[in-house]
Amino acid sequence: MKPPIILSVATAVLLIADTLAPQICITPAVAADVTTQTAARIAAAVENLFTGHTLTYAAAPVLLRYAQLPGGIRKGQQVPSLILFADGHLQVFYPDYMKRAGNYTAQLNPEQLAQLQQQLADPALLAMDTAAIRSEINRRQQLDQAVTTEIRGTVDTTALYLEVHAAQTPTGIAPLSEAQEKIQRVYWYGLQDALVHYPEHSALQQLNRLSQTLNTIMRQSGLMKTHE
Amino acid sequence: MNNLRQFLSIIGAAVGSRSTGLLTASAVLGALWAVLIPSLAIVSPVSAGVFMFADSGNPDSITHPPHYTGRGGKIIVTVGLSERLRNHLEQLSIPVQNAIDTWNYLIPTVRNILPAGRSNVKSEHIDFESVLLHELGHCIGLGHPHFDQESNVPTWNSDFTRSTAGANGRYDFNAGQDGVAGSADDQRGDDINLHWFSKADNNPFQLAPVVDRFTYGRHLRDLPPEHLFAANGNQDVARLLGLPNTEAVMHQGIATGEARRQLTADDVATLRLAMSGFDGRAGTKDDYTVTLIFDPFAKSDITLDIDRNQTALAQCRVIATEVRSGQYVIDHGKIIFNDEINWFFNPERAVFQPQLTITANGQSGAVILSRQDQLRLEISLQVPAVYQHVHAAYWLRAETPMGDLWLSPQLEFVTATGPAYTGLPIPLERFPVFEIPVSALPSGEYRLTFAVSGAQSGFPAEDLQATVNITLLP
Repeated sequence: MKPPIILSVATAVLLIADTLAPQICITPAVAADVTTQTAARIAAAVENLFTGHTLTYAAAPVLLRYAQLPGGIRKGQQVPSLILFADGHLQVFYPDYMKRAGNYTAQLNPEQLAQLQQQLADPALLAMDTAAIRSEINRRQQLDQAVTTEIRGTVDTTALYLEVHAAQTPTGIAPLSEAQEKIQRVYWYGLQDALVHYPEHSALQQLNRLSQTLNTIMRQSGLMKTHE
Repeated sequence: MNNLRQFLSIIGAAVGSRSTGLLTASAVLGALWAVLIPSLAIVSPVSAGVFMFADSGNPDSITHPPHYTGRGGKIIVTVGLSERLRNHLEQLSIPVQNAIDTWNYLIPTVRNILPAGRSNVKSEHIDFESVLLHELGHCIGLGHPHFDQESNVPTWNSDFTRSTAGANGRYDFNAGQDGVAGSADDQRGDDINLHWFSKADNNPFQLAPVVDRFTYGRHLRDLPPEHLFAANGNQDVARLLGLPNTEAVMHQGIATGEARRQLTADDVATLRLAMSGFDGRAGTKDDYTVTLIFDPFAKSDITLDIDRNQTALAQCRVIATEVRSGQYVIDHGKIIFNDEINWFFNPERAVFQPQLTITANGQSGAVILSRQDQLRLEISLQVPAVYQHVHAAYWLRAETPMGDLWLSPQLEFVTATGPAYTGLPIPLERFPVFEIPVSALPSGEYRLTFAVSGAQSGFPAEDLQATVNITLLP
């Protein structure tokens, strides 16, 4: 029995560690040509993901920003997102087309915050070479395709955008390189399918765990609605 | 001939003596036709799109719906509900059936987007029917015609026509002179096109009379002269071609309050290209048709499900088999909707068949009139939204004791066969053709038939007609 293959219409992966060229939804090939104009468009695209957040919070710096980009939503529509601050304060936004529409706040307790910070400081995540991962996934797909006639595809699934302000993660957990002290950005489409192809990859596993943790935080019952 | 002159003179005299209202109605219709006829130039039906699983290793591959084996004929594809969704059958039945019928009728339309405020979709809601229509397209083999979210291309380049990166390993995005991404003048370097286009015009909103691998191509060498790349059915390309609020259903993305429930030529052509079978030649034995059937409780080929842990609006998972080189057949599809979305469930059943009537004195069927009666002939035509931009021809034939006569574009009865009107369908509500005293006509049997037929591909192939039989007593 030949193993089924998973076609990765869902393997788009991007990790940009360079704070000067924060990018979303961009290929490495394109990344090589980032111009000032492109960088500005990228920055604007990223900020658009968080336009729904109407609350301000100055008591602590941002630790991470996280957004879910639902496949199938038209460009320019707001998306669900989370901003977590270094003291555990968090803000969640759900757009108007969702049942939970609105702005929410909550506070992670010290234990939850410490666990999350530990996840964020994982060297595998911070050193993630997404181009190499994607290349490996493509190679595996082609190998699979050569030995099976069955093919699987998933479309219109969700992409995630994760922005980790590495300086806010505890340095005692893992030593940070110079690059890691900056803002780490991850854009990933179809995480589950990527894991099917490359289940043993520790950074993918870590990203998946982190994504699940953040999704749980966004859905927790302790969220307090603050803005319609 | 004398009889004809007599009949025409009678009708002419009768028309001349008609009420002002009747003359006005005819004049209005004539004026309306005159205004609409020039608009024919911008409207016409269908170019094809992209198939699931087409990629750099398999750019020419075509994906077929479940059950296609290479034998031609009618393929039945069942659409069912998961147990979780069966509890919502009452809400779902209309939008699901509408979306299924839309794929079954395969009517190419333009202006298929109703933005928020112009659709019946509640604000702050997503239209379930529109999303389902798109996802069903994936489940029968269609892909996105542009660079979707999974392409990993920046959002500002996502409207370019789907391709692979070519030998240089990078996408070459240049929107050309018109500045519109996805249009025919895009300069794409060595990018390898994945979008099937009409060789005749590379217009994603025009449907060629025959759709197969001979009329549609993927190789850029098959483009019309002056065209540089395959055009796709995105909104900006549509606007460039004079078609506002038009977009291929398989283009990814919908907004709150928006409805996109009708197919464009691009969507229709893609499926019809697959329907030309493995040999890719229309009119051969391996051609097939696809009929989706909603069977909520059966084990189905395509299953609809809902999940609160889902983070997409809805996602489609398909399993397919490469049954021969470059030919995939879907084995099963699953569409999972996000339970956290404010879904709008369209309560209105879509209409796909035009409704037409012809009445004598308000009655249809058989009517008997005496010499002292008046005869008032009226026709009505309800045109479903899907046909509003598809050309049609109206015919009115009178079988009379004096012979067969046809209503002319000048609203006169003549012997020459021809339509009274050709152009975009005009809905008619009890339109008075004429009103005359019965005494002005010879006694005998009259049979009047109002028929509407497709002037071009798209309108129902079979003539639609309604008849009234009138007996004029001596």
